[in-house]
Amino acid sequence: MKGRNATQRDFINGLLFSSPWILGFLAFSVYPLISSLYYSLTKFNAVTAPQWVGLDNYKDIFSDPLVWKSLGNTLFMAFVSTPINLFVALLLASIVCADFKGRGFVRTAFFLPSVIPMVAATMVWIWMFDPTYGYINNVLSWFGISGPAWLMDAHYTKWALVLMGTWNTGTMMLVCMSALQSVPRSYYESAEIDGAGKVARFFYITVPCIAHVLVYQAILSTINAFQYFQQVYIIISANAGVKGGSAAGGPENSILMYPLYVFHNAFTYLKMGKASAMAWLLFIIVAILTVFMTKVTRKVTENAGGE
Amino acid sequence: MKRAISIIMAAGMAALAVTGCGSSSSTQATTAQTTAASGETTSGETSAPAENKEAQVITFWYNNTGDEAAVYEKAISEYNASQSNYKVEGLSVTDAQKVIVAMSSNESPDVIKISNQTVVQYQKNGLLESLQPYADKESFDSSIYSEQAMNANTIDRAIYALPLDAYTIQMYYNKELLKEAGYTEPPKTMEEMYEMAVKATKVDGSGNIEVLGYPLFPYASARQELIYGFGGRWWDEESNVTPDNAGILESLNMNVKYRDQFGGKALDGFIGTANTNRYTEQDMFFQGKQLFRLDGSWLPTMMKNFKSTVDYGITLIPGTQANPELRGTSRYETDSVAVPAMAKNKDGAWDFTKWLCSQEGAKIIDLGTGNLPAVKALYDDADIKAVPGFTEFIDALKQEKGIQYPVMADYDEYISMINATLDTVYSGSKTPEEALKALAGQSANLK
Repeated sequence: MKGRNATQRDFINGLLFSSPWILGFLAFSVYPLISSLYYSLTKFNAVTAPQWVGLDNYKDIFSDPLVWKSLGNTLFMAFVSTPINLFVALLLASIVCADFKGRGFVRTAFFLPSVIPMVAATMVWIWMFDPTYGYINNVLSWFGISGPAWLMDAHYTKWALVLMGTWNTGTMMLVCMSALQSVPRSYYESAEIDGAGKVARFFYITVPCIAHVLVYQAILSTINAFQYFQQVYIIISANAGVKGGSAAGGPENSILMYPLYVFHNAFTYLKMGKASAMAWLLFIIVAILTVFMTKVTRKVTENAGGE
Repeated sequence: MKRAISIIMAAGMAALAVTGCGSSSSTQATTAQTTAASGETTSGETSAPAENKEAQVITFWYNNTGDEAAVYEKAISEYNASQSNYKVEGLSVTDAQKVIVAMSSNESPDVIKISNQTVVQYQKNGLLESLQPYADKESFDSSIYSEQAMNANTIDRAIYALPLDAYTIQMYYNKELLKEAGYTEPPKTMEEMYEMAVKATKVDGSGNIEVLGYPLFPYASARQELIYGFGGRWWDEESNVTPDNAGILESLNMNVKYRDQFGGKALDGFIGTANTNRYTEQDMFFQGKQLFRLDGSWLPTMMKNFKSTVDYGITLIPGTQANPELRGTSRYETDSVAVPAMAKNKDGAWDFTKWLCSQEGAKIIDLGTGNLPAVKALYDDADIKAVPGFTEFIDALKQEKGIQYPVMADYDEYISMINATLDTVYSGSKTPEEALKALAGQSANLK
């Protein structure tokens, strides 16, 4: 009996000690989550009282072509930009792991773009993509290539974003660098004795040893891609003058990302109910993707003999 | 003892968390007490001037920054000095999202400055207070404003905002380029304009456009004024969407003809650069690289500030040979001052709104921001007319040929659809007919 009292007491004490977090979690996570679920079933403009409409918002999003267009654009960033960024980060990490004079400077130079505020960086890139005076097209012209109007032509807008993304892989590079340095040197020495070349050593030793880190980075980067907003918001706002209208998705909606369309619905069109329904759809997609990727990570870790 | 200590510590942590969450409200309470103690009341506490003659605070949010924000602050100071019942506190808020959040969280400003397009959207969502009862009560004379300015802010026969200034677009032309093309007078019809544009367009050896003849930049004007000149309308008088309007098709066909002649890629290149440099020293028109430019009344002041040496003229946007009376038709917009439905001090808000949009208040704003007057008496004001370009634009305003925004809640969605539709035309992925047919399908359910 005394033991049970002690357990209850510990439980209450535990609850009291963790109450700041619990209160914060209830107020700032659970309440907004439940609210958004409720709002997704209402017609709501964020200010006046919501009106119950049942599943109308969900029907609306499934019949809205822009929802699927924006989802397609977001998936492009998740599954095209992510592997490219990972490759660039790994390449940069391999370079800065090598022993050469000025390595510290090169490391800093590669990482520096990651600490530049996204707004400033995007504005710089808008200038770099200028069809006439921009650096990108000027460099292409050295090779006799007439560069496109990157941010005006729907065929190139997403590739412009991919290019921008590669510039900002400093953090990923650091993680890869750390993983590369953790691979035991004895493995390389043994392989070298066995006559393995640099390429063989990379694919048969380096890649398997750091695979779990790469997969983890890929998961994070993919999930981040579903929150891709700031860059396109700035680019589209900068182009708003040419087109007029505050809400748009770039040429032919080619850079209308899913979070941006949620934002437009919520705050430009004042359709908070539809925006909430869209947010829940995104939540479900990301949840499924996370479960899938977690399983992949576990598998890769097991295969790599990880713990 | 051990138990007591642990309970005290846990309670302390919980208290910290709770006070952390509630710091904002407790601060507000303290502030309210402080202001009450000092005799100052917040705008929400009373609806009539305080008995102790202390001014009630009216909060006013405007979406201007920098030098323009200073102009608004100057106007606010003059209002505050002109009477003692109310004290206006201005705040520059450029983020429309913040206004919505403030309205939804009972922190709404008393007065907001928004575009007349936003007036329609907010009214349709029940966010604005009708000013009609205030106007009726005081027999407010709304005839001081131009008819189109009042129409722009009247919905279902009720006034929802007062016009502060007006905004229209007309045509600038580069005299030197026009002369080089063999003309001495600007065009009066779209057909004449096209002919001049083709002759004036200059292309380098690689096909890049060096001088743009046809006014496809900015696209916003191509979407509006180039179409209005053909009699095209995206919506009718009853605010029904009309993407199948014949004038739209006629205008788009002319745009496509020009694009086909000089190449879509070359045009995109020029327009992309023009957009990056818009309203900077390198602006294409300021640099003498555009023959025609459809733009607002602020352009001459900008050109003067950037020391542009371009010899330009201002003329009305062309009509067509078949309908020359359409000449000068342009969008008509106003910056408007409105009172949110959640405002705490509506009487004070109306008083300030009335003053700011009066001849006295509006003159400060018009001169400071370079926008055109909505108050008719300012049309002939010497100071206003002294602003470069204003005389020509005011002459255009007097024609009252402005195209008003439709009264539809989904206006922003419609414009997004139109922009995407025009993209498909300009990229060549759809013909104008196909694109407009698709738009008709997409926009059918908009309200």
